Amino acid sequence: MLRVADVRSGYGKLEILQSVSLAVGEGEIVGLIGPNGAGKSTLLKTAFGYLAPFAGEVALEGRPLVGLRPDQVVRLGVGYVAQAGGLFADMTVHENLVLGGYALRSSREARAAVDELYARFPLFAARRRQPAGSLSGGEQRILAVARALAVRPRLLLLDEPSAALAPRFIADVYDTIRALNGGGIAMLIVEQNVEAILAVAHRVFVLDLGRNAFDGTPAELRASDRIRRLYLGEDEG
Amino acid sequence: MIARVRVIAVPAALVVAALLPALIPHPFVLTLATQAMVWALLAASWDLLSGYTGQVSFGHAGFFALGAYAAATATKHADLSPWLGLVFAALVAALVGGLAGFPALRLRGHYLALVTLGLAEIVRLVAQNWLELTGGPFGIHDYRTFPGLPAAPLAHRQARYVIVVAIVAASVVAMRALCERTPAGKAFRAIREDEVLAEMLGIRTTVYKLLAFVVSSAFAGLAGALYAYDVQLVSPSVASAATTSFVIGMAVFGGLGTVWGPVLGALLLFGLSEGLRFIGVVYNLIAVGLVIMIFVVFVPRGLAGGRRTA
Repeated sequence: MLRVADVRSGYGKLEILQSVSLAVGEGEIVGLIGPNGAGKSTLLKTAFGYLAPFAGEVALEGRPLVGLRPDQVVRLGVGYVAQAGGLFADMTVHENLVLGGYALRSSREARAAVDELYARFPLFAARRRQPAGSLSGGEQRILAVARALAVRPRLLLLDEPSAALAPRFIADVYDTIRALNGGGIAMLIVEQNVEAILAVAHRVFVLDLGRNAFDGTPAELRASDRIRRLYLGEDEG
Repeated sequence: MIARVRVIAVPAALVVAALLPALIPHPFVLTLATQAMVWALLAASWDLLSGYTGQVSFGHAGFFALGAYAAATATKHADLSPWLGLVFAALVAALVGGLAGFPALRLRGHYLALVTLGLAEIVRLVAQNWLELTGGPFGIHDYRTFPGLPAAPLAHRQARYVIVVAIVAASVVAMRALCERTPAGKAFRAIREDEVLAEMLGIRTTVYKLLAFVVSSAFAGLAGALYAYDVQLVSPSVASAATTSFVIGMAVFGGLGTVWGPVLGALLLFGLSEGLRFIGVVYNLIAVGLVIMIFVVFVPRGLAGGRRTA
């Protein structure tokens, strides 16, 4: 459904991605891993259409995303969950969820979307008046994911959903990711926690210094000595 | 604590403001109180833009002056009714705010602040040099104020005060409602907290920033018109950077991102600066500046407990 082809992208004149390609199929979870500075978040922002690529193509079901405003991309069915801190911490849980539905065309539709979110995440219904910043780290991350669901996306782009979380919260976040994927939502997930993403991803994509380094299943990645050494920190033999 | 202050202080202030003409029926006091109300509206309008959306304007005096000159010139040269003059002034300020805001709001942080500062300076220079329309450095005067007011001096002053208070109160309620009870208000606050994140959620940040800029400019223009019809003299100094600095001080003192905080801050700081005039017209401003500095350090959220000053 999402196709990124031969993309070169970056900030200003600084080129971070050099001819990168990837694809996310219907209902698929694709993990995007690589060392710091490899360009993972840049690729995610480019895939969302937020960063205009210098060259190459980004398309959702054949429709180009380049040149569209974020609200137009969101309306096409793409949700974006930013890295840690991706909430309006001083605003309430309810306000955060409501803001997730701003790209919807009617206020009735937006209200219905928030009601659905409360039904799906009853924890937040009980804490609707609480400032989002006062939730635990794991709850904040799940709230950010829930907020992105307000527009009923078919594809979610997640930037390091486990960053800076304690292990038990990471499990909660990935349980939510699995459940959403079970409902048919495809995902492209940037992740530093390789074991966490390998456990849920259908395919893994490795980015190194702005270039494709690997594209395959988690099993294939584990079978590749070079990739294992470089990105999983495992010793030879 | 803050909630208690709001529950007690706001209704008490409203009662005192409404009853002031009867409580202290003195023309001098009512003149100062009327001017304090005008400052309160200007400070609240600045807060709508800068306190709620985080888009810092260093040029609100420009919109205030635009409104004041628009009202005074329209009434003097075109014999426009002062009632319509209020609307005309707000529209002129909103239009200029929209035209300036559209390109300026693509800028962020210091750049936007510099653009607004430059805009106010342009307004001041035009006012100073367009002699036929604005009266140049001596300002514009000899135009009428609100019609149908009593002729007796005290009753006239009381009536003028009531008009200004009513318009300021209605404006503050409208601004507060916009910021706290509408989707636009939530978008303003989201932009203030994290503009990039707001954009990634599909919030049209440029549209909402422009809306805040236009509405804020309109209310600043309305404050300018009230000033013009009350003081009966508009000179280029109203567009000075000192005017904006005073307004920012009032908003920070009162509490950013609350609307009512800057209103309270304006009433208290204006009252303080006028009350200290006996120590000298420079020293009273130094004293006000010191109070603002102390507040920023020790009460960074201001009287109303608004958001922290950066």
